[in-house]
Amino acid sequence: MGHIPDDSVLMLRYQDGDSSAFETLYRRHNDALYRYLLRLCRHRDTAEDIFQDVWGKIIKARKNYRPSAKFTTFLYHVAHNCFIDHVRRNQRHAQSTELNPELYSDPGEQPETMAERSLAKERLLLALHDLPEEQRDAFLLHEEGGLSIKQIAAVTGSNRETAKSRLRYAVKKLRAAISEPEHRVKKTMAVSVEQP
Amino acid sequence: MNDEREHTEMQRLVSETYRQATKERAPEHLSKSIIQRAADALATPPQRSANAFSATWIRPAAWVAAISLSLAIVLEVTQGRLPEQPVTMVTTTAPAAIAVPRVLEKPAGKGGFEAQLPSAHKMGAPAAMAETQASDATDACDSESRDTAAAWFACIRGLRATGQTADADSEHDEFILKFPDFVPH
Repeated sequence: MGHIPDDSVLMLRYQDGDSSAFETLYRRHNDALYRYLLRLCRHRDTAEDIFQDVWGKIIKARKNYRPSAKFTTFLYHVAHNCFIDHVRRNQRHAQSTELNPELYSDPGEQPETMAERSLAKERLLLALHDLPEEQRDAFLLHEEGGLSIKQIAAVTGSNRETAKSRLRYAVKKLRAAISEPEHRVKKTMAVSVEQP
Repeated sequence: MNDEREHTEMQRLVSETYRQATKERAPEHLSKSIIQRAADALATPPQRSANAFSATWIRPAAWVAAISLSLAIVLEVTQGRLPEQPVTMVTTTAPAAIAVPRVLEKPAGKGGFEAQLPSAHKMGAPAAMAETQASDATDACDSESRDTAAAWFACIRGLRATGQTADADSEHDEFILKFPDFVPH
């Protein structure tokens, strides 16, 4: 059975000049980080810009990196900060809250397939889209980053109770959305299906 | 307890639904570009940052200042000049402040101000000053040091050099989150 190196070990190996270690580390976290940013930003192009920015910072940070905390905490902390910086720099994002049905589907997915997707999933994603930013962030850090309450608090710069409360509210609202369909869900699905 | 169990169950269901609903993957063209950047970063020496100039002189300057200050204090102590300093200087030092009012209450005798100070205080005040200054110099980095990446990093190095590893580690953890792209020289 092969030994799976720890994230921090990979980062240290990259620090020592092993680029394949970075690739392994990247492949381990890229999809989750991408989804985190995609759902947090609610805008694909913005998410992609920030995604590149985050990895650029991780690359530059290799010289100073010390494995004192879990690598994912470090990674999502950088991502969270990049997102906040982006929001501050660009108010366009903060105001863009309109629904973007394209975001909820794979661009290559066929309309028939989209129609087949369960209603519960659609409801959940729409409810997630509508969550206040802090709650959405807490939920995504938990789901995509696998962060604990304590780590979410560290990443978002809040205290443990606040982080816990944000996550609970998010889960509660999402749970309610799964079982109580909204008018908008059907409307969005109809729009998606009608697309040529 | 029941509430906690209910929440855990709720979270499990939401989490499961979320996992089924989200299948997006990072675009391959981005991945290729990032991995290439990572490899290139190893091949090329780090660029000098805008703060590089300040980083080159802050550290030696800090050492020179610390050594000069230490020498000045040692000279003051060995030559016994400090008690002759104006009273205001002594009163600003907390440990000596207790002794000084007592001295001031008495009129200066033949021996003058220096003679009235107990010998322990003669050494105590400068020693306390040195101790205070030394602890200021080796405390965890202050807000001024944290203003720029170079100054903060120099401060962390200073902490490490003076053996304050725990403080240095803690400062470094905060530093790397605020300036993840800082390149040391």
